[in-house]
Amino acid sequence: MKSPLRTSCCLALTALLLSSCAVLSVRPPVPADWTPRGSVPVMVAMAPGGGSDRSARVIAQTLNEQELGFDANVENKEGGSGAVGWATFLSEEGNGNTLLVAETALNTLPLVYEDVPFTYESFTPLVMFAQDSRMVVARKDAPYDTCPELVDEAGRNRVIAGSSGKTGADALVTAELEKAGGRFDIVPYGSTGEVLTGLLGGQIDVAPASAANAKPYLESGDFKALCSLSEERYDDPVLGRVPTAIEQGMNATVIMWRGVFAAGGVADVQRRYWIDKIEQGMRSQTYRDYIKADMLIPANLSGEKFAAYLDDYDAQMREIFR
Amino acid sequence: MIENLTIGFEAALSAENVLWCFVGVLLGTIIGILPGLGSATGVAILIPVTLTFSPLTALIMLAGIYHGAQFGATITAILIATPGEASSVISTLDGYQMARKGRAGPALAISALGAFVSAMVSLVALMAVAPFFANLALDFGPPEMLAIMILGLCTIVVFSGRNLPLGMAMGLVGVLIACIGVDVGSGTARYTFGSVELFGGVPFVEVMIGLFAIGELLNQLHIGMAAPIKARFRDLLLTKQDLKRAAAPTARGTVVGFLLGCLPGAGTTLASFMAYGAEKTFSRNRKKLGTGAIEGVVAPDAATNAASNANFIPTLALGIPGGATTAVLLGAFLVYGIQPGPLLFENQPELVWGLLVSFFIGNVILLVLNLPLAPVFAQLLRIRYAFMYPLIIVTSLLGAYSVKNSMFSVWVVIVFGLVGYAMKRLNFPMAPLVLGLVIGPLFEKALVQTSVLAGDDGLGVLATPTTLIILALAAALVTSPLWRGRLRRTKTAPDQDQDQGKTKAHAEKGSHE
Repeated sequence: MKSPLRTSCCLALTALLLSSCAVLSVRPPVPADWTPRGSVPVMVAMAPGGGSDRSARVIAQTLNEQELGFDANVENKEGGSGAVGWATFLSEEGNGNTLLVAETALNTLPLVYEDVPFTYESFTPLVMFAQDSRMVVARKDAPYDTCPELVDEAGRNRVIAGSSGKTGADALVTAELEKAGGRFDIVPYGSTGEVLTGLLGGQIDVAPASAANAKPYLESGDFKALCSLSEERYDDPVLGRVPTAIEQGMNATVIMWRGVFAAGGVADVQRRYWIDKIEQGMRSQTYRDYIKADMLIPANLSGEKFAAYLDDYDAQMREIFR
Repeated sequence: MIENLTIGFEAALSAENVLWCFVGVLLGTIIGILPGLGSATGVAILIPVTLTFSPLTALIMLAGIYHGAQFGATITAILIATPGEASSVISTLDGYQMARKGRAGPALAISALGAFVSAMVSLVALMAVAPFFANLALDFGPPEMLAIMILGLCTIVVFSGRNLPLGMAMGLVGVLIACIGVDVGSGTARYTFGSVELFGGVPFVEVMIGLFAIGELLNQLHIGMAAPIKARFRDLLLTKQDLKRAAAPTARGTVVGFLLGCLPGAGTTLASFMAYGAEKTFSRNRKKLGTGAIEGVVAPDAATNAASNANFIPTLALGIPGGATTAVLLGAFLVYGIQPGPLLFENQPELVWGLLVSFFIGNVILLVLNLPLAPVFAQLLRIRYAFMYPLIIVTSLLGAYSVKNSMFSVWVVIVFGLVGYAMKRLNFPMAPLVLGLVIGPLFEKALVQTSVLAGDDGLGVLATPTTLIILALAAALVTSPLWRGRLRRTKTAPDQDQDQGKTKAHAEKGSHE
């Protein structure tokens, strides 16, 4: 029994030593032929199993498939709708050997909770690899068929909507609908799964849903889609029949981004390395399968362009969350 | 039904699938034993490993992990009061006491056996009535959930032991701790004192590891080195009397677990607590609960297993996750290119029925694996404490660290370890606190949702038959000390209890048909 004890003590000691090294060391200048080494943590600030976790695992896989001499490993640091993970990632400042996969909430969260210590500008944008949008779905027997009809009804009678969070895409959807003149009672839920349960059970009248989440219920006929808040219709036999809100005469879109970041203050050579390899990974079958299965909108903005997009996006979010 | 079963058996009984089911169950047991590493995380980590498998094989292995982890978590809960998962917290109450008395073997064996029986029963129910129960569960909106949570909070009465005000105070402390973090309704950060770590709330698993593992360990150190528990071989085996005593609690646990498991979001942890509460109320040996009674071990374990199977009802019939692990499994469906949703039973009969049949196989493997091993595991207690305690501390702290790779978790464990130690010294009841922690957030969410739904109706929203029945049950539970005393004076109490158990089981049968 002695030896396992000794091993575990050794392990604990090494872990302690390693962590203190990380704190104490002063980083040497980054050489021009820098490459990542060993294990590269790919941090995601959401729980295992959700959409963000899945996107991080896909990115890690596309990197590992290139066999570049390091191992990308997904680490989930969830809590506080992402606040915990992103605040933790701040401490990686200057460390090029780690990545962060994030999404829209990185813009919206600091606007809603003023006391978080980060903004989207705290990290180095590398590549935006996908966009997503939302549909507005209702039960099949609802008295409205389009988004303008829904807004109209919500101006006159009580309409109850579900929402899966204050800082996520659902909040953007209800904001757009309210901007158009509807008034909703919004029931907060913990996840999109719970929102759809509420809609199936008839406790709520309408719900925002991603294309991937909505599709099975549209196929089964339990729900009908009132409109899609994407810029164009989906390229899909079922979802393609759903008109966009713009087609219906409503100036409403909801676009979310998913992207990869490096820590703040990384060297230029590190930034260029990651942009190059991530873009390489996006040519793989793994990436294409992911975009198709999750019904995302493919996107590819890197470096400065991604940074400019984020500035634009943040300005829009300020309008909504002010 | 028969036809579907044939499809399922044909799909699941290939050598490859049985092998991976075995691997899954074994891995799951290990994952469950490690504190902090729960089934949800285990499944999420192993999804990429299964990418090269056929979808059915992959799902069978992942489901094996799910089932194995449930049991693995119980092993450490019973042996060293360190629950591997939230749902096995309650097993520490009586299971650990049994182990202290040298009866760790029977505790582990009956836990495996009870889990097996409840898994079999709940699987049959799952296959027979999944769509029916799925639709029933949909009618459970926020008001009904609120009623369930009120009932849950009322079980504090039975968990408090002799000192009711103290128990209620501990329950309140639990609810207060659960309030820390961003709230569901308004999205305001509460009691975070500027700490971003606290935004996500006080993490439950870490609190459990602290309260139970570290707290108990400090307490043992205080008392002084106890002699290692050396049980005779025949004490390690189940007796006929054990089996007899375990039968009714298993049945009750299964029913409670199955019903709660059907409801999306209620969770297996709540089921285990409610089942223990039911034992405290209805069991013949309710007085002995908490001192190492077999009823207190087998009922929560049966409930946990029934609930984790029933969790698949909303998952497979509607495409809605029933709990954390099924949510991860639903994500896995997408990875394999299968669209979960209401049409899954129609579009993928081979997959769904193959998966369901594999649950049977997985549970048989689990029993065959663990029943003979129970006495062997129990022998671990022979290890001298000089070796055992450092090992517990290291696994607890490493386990806590591994949940989120953060030192914050380790601090939470240490702080709550001290809290647990203080509570043990002062003889404060632990269970109400944990119950408050579990139910607090669920109660609050249901309350906020219900109040939005109510609009101008006010309390009228609670006036549905289901809510009223559940609230009446809650009222009966709170007042039970009063009427129970009166009943005992007029009649012999055990008979009365048995009758109640019977009518409850009977009512359940009715709703199955």
